[in-house]
Amino acid sequence: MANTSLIEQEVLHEIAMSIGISLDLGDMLRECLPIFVRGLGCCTAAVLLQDGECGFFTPKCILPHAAMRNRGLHQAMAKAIDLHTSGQAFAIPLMEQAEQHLYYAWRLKETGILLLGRSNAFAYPLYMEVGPLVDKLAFAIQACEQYDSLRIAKQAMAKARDEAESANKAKSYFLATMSHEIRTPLNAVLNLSELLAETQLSDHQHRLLNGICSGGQALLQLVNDVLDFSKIEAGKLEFTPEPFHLGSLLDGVRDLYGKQATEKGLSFEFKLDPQLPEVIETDPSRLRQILHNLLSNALKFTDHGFIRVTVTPEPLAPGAQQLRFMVEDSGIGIAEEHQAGLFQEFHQLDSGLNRRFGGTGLGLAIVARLVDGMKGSLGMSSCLGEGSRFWFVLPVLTSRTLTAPQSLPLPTAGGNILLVEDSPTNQMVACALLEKLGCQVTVAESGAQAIAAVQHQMFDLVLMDISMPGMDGMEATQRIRQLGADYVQLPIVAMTAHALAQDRASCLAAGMNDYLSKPLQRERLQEVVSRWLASAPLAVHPAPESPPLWITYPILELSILDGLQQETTPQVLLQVVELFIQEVGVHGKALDSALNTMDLQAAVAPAHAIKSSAGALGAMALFHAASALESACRLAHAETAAPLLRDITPLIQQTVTRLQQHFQPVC
Amino acid sequence: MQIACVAEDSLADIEHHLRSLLARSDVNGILLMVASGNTFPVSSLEPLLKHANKPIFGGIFPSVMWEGEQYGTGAVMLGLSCEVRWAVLEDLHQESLEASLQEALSLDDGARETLFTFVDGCSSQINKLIAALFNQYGLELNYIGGGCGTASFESIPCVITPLGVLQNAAVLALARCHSGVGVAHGWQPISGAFKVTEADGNRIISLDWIPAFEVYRQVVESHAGASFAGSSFRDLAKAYPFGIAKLGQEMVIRDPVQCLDGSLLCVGEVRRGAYVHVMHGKAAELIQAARQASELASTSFGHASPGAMLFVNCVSRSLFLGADFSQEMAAVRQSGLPMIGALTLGEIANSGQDYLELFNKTSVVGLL
Repeated sequence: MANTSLIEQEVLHEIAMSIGISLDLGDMLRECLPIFVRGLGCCTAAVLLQDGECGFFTPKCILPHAAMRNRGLHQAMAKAIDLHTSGQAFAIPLMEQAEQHLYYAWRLKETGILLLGRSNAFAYPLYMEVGPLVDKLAFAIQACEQYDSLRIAKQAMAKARDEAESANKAKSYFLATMSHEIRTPLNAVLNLSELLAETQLSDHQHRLLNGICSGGQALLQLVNDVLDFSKIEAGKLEFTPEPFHLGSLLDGVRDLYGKQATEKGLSFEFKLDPQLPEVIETDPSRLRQILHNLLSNALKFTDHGFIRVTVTPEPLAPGAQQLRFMVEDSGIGIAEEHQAGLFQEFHQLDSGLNRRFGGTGLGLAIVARLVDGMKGSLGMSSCLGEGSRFWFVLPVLTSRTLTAPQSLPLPTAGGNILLVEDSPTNQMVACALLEKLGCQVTVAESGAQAIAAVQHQMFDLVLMDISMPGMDGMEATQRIRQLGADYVQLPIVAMTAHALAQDRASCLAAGMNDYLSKPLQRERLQEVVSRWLASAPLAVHPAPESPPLWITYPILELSILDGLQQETTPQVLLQVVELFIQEVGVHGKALDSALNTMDLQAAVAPAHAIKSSAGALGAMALFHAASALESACRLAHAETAAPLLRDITPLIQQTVTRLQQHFQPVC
Repeated sequence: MQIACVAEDSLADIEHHLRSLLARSDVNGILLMVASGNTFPVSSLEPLLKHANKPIFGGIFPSVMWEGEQYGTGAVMLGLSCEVRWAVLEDLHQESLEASLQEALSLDDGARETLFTFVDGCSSQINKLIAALFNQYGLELNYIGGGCGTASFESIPCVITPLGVLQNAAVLALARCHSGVGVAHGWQPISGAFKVTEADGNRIISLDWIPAFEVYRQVVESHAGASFAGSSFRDLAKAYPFGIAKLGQEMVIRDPVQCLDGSLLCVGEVRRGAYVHVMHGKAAELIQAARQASELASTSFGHASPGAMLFVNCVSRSLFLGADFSQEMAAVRQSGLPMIGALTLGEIANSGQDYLELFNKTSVVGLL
């Protein structure tokens, strides 16, 4: 039923389909040459490849390998190479060996020669039919060679990229380290200069001191820019969305830059759409930073005319909006050819401007990355000599209500503070700032000294450095807490240089009450110290009419949740949250019972349990409420415990609702 | 060259003959083919195999043959007077079979030698072994041998080697003796070509993108006038092997032995992209082909006189021929030439000067 020509077609087709299966030359030849040999009834096959540069031929694949020992094959290869090189046609057959082997040769287009050995002669038509297969083989060989070249080039590129990235990382690390190291003493200079300015100085001394302060501030801004950019590059920049009053933030920005614009003789205009939401949820500090960077540039590059800030809402979906911020100026403008790379790092228009205006060239690069990190978009348009317009659009949540932060009065009388800090510079700055607040400061240089100090003297507040040689701040805090019931309520505030969310969570987990970022900022230090000094008399001088401390904390610290999600998986986190909801439900009921009977001892365990799990999940208001409740119950302070017991049940419900809302998309 | 045969199921007799051969100074190695119908455990042979001062190699086979008779018990043995070197591949799954061959058994220059090759017929690595042999030794040898095992294709230790009786292994014995090999099967295509569109080793999954069994069933049932539903798969399939197209020669036969979820399991690999035909044979054509194999072996051997004939025939061929198989044995015999042989699970030989193959349902005649 099968005639010879059909069988030929089958065999030729099988061979054709076996060519080019792999892009690795060796594999490709190993795959198809046996099919050539078996299908065409051959005893030997050899592929000779010609080097494109030197023209030499190399046997790339010989089948069987044992044929390497065959003198006839070597003679056939030599003859084929001679004919190929001299441009002569191959004889058919190329050579007939004494041992009755016949060798046939074909040119592989631009690559080399195919040799087949056979014990009997090819019929001429079949020999001709092999030609197209040989052409396909030549194309496959070329494809493999090109692939190999690309692979080698890709490897070289990957190596070069890795080296460049490695060098860039080293640079970023160096910059970050240096910036950090510079910032600490610089901050000391600035803080101490400010304190000095508040002393009796002559006008001349004031002018000199103002020069120090403004130079120092400019330097601090540069260092902060570099540090921010290093963090962005390292992927360590964090965004902490929280609800806040948009108007308040914009007022602050307007006050700061309006004054400077007016001093420069510029018109400064803020156009806020009346439909703007009152409260939005995004990262306020990053939004402020974006506006600062854009307005600094506008102020820097505008000598006359105006600066205008416009904010308009753009509804997205119920409960979500995007806000469009636009900063326009009538400054020097940017030529079209310079606009493309404007948001890249270290970009400055030209060296002349650089000398005139200064700056790191990082401002707009930071803006671009911040906007990107907040899932927004930005753009610009400009006309040389006429001015520039920068805009960015940020998605924000608007449905949340804001628990208004309680403004606490500054302490009228100083508290007794233990400063645990090993760096003499930092000690000097902190002491000066605290003393300015009217506090009495005792310094401990190590964790061990701190433990001894709190046992020796009563303190209203401990400011605890985290990184110290020997016993660190975490361990010192844990040990202080273990000293006894009297030390459970002692407010301890961490001072940490790397204020990442997980660091803050670790501080709270170690038993600290709050945290301060280093280097210390005067306003922030004042705010935290004031708050804790105001709450310190809690156990001694309860003030039932004053608002409870926990309401100043967010229901949910999203950055802690995000940190947890990165460390685990969304599924695991979801399970943890479900478990938490179950547990707080049980503990909440226990607290209800305790409230009914006013059995404070019975409330200690559930309050403690709620405190631990709430802190771990970033439920900060609940954490602080439970923490205060636990302390009050341990001390059997019914007047403090009672309102907390009443408040905690709705707070649990509020926290659970907030968690459920947050995880709704996952569920 | 010394030949011995034991027809009975007797370990003692087999050992006795082996010892006699081992004692002879004109015997340098022994080819031992043992029938699988013996009741003694094959491992009983191991002490003798391991401690013999000359290599004993071969295998367990469904039947052995001696002087035109087929035996389901006993054993046949051939004492080789030429120099014999040997190697055992204990694990065919190893990656570097070629390197192992190079190390264990290198070729001498000069006279054309004969490589006796016996492999576990149930191994999935036979084609890998064949490719390694071809690559390593090329066509400078005559190959003869086949797959060891039982007719039920049960996987057992079945390869007889100087290291014992092994499973999933191969034994190679390189005899410095002249030989002639003839290969033929006589099966003819009864269908057009089907392209093997999916395959995995020795399993044909689809032909022309249709489940392989469906295609095969249609051709076979139509030709046989019988249904697979009414008989066991092997009863009908034994008469209808596949043939893989090859130029200028008989097609290479692949024997489908089992149907698995619509795919067909064969003895030996079928490559994706190959074209296969469904084959069928008549007893007379098959017997004629066996005779042709014998003649080809004589042609290959040349003018000298051989001392013995080794007949390696497929077990499924004998099942197909049934009572006519005795005629096939008679057809290959040559006057005055002693003959031993075995029914194998796949045959290994190079027909003339061409690509080394694993055959199925084929007669291989070796003259030594």
